[in-house]
Amino acid sequence: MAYSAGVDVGSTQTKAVIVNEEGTIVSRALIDTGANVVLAAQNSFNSAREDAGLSEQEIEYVIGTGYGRYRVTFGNAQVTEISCHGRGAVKMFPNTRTVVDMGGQDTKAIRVSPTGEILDFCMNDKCAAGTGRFLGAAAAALDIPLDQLGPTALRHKHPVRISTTCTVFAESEVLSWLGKGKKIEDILWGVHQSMATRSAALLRRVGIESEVTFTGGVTKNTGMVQALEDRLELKVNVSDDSHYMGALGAALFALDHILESRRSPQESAEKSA
Amino acid sequence: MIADPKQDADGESHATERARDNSLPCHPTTPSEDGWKQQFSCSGDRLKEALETYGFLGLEVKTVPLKDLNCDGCTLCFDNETDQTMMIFTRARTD
Repeated sequence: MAYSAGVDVGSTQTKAVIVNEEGTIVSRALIDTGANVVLAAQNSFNSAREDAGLSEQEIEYVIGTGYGRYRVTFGNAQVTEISCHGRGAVKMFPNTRTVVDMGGQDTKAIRVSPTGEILDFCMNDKCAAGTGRFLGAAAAALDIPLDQLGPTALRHKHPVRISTTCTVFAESEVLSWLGKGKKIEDILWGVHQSMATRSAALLRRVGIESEVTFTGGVTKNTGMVQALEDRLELKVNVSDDSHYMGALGAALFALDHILESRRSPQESAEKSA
Repeated sequence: MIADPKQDADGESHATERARDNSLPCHPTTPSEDGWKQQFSCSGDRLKEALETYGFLGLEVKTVPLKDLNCDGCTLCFDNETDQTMMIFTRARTD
């Protein structure tokens, strides 16, 4: 049995996924990236490998992805995270045609073919508006743990309209609404709506084609899933492994390499023809 | 801007929504006469990632320093930056 791995080194967290020959996930690991990117990549890979009970030799090919993909020093190759998110999303949800990836530092809109090839994409501008960092700023201003943002926001009754998605100004606007006596859940829902609006605008630039799959760390936020569905007026695909979509895509590209290398030259020629 | 008849529950049209997007430093414009389409601005590793992916898509790519463009939005996140922020433009290859 052959195994391959994908290591997605993100700005906030590093994810590793190991798949078997059928492309099924056998283990995954997630750690904070921290200051030492090389170490984060190694630790996440080792954690996933140990969890699967595999030796390094048993994992035949490793692909690095994410902004720190060139720091996956033990990897065999690198693939852009946009390609990996597309591939992972189509594997997880085969009818995916549009992917929205919301991470700690950026948001991406990706349009994919039925085979997971990238057709078009765009990202948020360099400013952090509309990214996971904006949610982090709101959480800090309201002194709420990140994992409680969504559940709290979903209790809203009279949501406020947040006029900024700027991380710099988020705290002052949130505190201003608190000062006016608004409830935390209503303010937070406004924050989520604001982010969903920004993400929907990004998705329209590449064209929204159903099904839409939501990937990245922010998928853990149930409030964000709901806000995005409300804004897009359609259900979005989310799985427990949505956080690992980039690493999964990388592992699948690595598996392609293993399977391709096993083919005879004649088989390869026939396949490419 | 052509008004979008589709409105959300708050009565905000998608056209208004796009207008709110003007907080972007240089919001997307229609393709120029020579076919260049403005994409988005970024720097560092994100820039490398974007250029690599657009190249993979078979598009011709050029970058222009953000400071050389006429941007009317907020530039707070770009002030005092260490990496130079570039605006990405793409167009279909003609060769």
